[in-house]
Amino acid sequence: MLCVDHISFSYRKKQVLCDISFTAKEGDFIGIIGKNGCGKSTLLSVLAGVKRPANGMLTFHETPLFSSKSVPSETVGYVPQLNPLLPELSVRDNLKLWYRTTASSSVESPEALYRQLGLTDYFHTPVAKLSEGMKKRVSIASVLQNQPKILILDEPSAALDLPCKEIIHEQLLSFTGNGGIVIFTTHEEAEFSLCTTLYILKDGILQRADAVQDKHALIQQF
Amino acid sequence: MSVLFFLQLKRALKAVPRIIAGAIIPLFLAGMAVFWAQRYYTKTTGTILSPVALVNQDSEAYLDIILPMITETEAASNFSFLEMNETDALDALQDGTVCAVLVLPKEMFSGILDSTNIPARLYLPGGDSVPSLLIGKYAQAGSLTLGSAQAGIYAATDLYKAYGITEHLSDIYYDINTANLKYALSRESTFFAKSTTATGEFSLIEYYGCTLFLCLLLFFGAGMGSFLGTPAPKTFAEQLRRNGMGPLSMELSLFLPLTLFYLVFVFALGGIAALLLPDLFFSGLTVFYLFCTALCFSAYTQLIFSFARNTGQGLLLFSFLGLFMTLFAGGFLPYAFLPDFFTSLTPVLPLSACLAGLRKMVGATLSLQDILFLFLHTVVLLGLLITLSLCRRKEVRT
Repeated sequence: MLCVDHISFSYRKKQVLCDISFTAKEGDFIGIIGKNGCGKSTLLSVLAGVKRPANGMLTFHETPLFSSKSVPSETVGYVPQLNPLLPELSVRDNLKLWYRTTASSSVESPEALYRQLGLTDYFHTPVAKLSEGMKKRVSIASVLQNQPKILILDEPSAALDLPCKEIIHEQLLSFTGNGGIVIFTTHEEAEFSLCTTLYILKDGILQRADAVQDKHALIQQF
Repeated sequence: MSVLFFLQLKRALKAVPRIIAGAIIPLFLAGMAVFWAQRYYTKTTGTILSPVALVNQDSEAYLDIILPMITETEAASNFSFLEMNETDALDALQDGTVCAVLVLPKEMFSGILDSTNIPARLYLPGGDSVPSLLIGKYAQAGSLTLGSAQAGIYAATDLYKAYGITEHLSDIYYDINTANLKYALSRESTFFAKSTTATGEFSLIEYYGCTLFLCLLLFFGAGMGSFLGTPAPKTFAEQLRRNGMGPLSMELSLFLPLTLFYLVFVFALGGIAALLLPDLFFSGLTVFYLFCTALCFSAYTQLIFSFARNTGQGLLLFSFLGLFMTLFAGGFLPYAFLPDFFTSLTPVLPLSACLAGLRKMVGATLSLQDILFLFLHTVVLLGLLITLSLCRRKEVRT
């Protein structure tokens, strides 16, 4: 169980996140929506341990997260909106960089994951020569190869074509199906149906979205 | 950390073609600039005519014969002699209208003959200007010439006395003296062949070879900018930090391959220099100095590109500061052509200190102190780099 408890964050004097609390259990697929610039990416950065909250606490199975300097990548995997890849290096080199041997020693080889994401044919291709969709798949693979318990993704399907979105959705559903927790931000209406819970972030306050099926009612909540 | 280091090294190796292109293109442009500067310089040096004030306090008869002999020698062809009194001459030196004052004191020439030797006085302005260097050397040559003339006069007098020809000695004294001075002055070029250059004890090849060495390192660094100046996405650094690798680890992962590249390049250039300059001796000190040079350049390159944040800004800053420091070390124009404060600034600028040390290395006067001094510069640059990294981390966290 992931417990987000009264999290607040501000950029200098501007309060971006205000007293945010929610919980997520194994298998949950949590979507976060909101206007552009409302603080969705900041919220994910805080949940991923990139930014430290001014107040509040995050616990996983009642153990505080981010108490140490480094974030255990076998617990929390984070796929930011911009791919954290070195463009001159090949796909394999980029995957090698984020591969944590300590985490993987007890889990299955990531080769199967690479195959599922269709990366094996591109191992020796420099990342700079890949399409945006392929880059996103490499980013997701670089996180999933360490088999985290919680996966945080910032608009994973933005600007991707339909087949690529489909592959990523399948992978994410498989992840939650195996007991993982997914928290992601999106603007894609089609992705609302994937979510077990959908939240709207407005004026720094996170609230559960009602009437997900009714587009107009949903827009009213923005 | 080791994976990151090897991947950064691999990334740098992939940038090698761009590094080479980055080094060759500026080198070509610099070569063109030097070619045109050389053409301009050789065209103008022939027309330099420096005024020298001549204060003649001697009224001897010899002077009318000897003075034209002195002023018409080849060595004096770069000077125009203006006769004036001492006060006006010193005022003119103060104003800069003359580059030197030569005072011929009363009874100087008779003093040469009777060995009282009243010396001529030469006033030069401070600094290392070319006219001062030239006239200094000219005065040195003049004293040698007068010395040899005086020896000739005494030798002739002694011979006459030894053979008992003393009867008409006083009658032919005038002829002996003028003949000796005439031959001594006209043979000046036979015995005084040392040329004076603004580069001091270094030949032009050695002097500008050191500058070329420094410029090649600068161009190499500019090429490395394509590797250093293309920053990884911000999210890359964030992910590294999540994995326990802070900005210092990130900087170190860039610094290590960069230093490795510089070491290879510096020692390759050192090897070429040793082939071209047979007198260049590779001692433990020289190797240590080259090692420190690579470290210093590595720290300087990374500091600039880390500060600039993007390749364009980095290249501009790197080239500007690099060429500025080379100029201050007398890299393009020797100190003789530069204002005096350039010399005093040289030790505090890292690349200037590096160039000064390179010249000492070529001149075989390199000391451990020079190496430690360059090492100190490297430590300061690394300190600035670490401070910058820590400030950046603070910025991100805020």
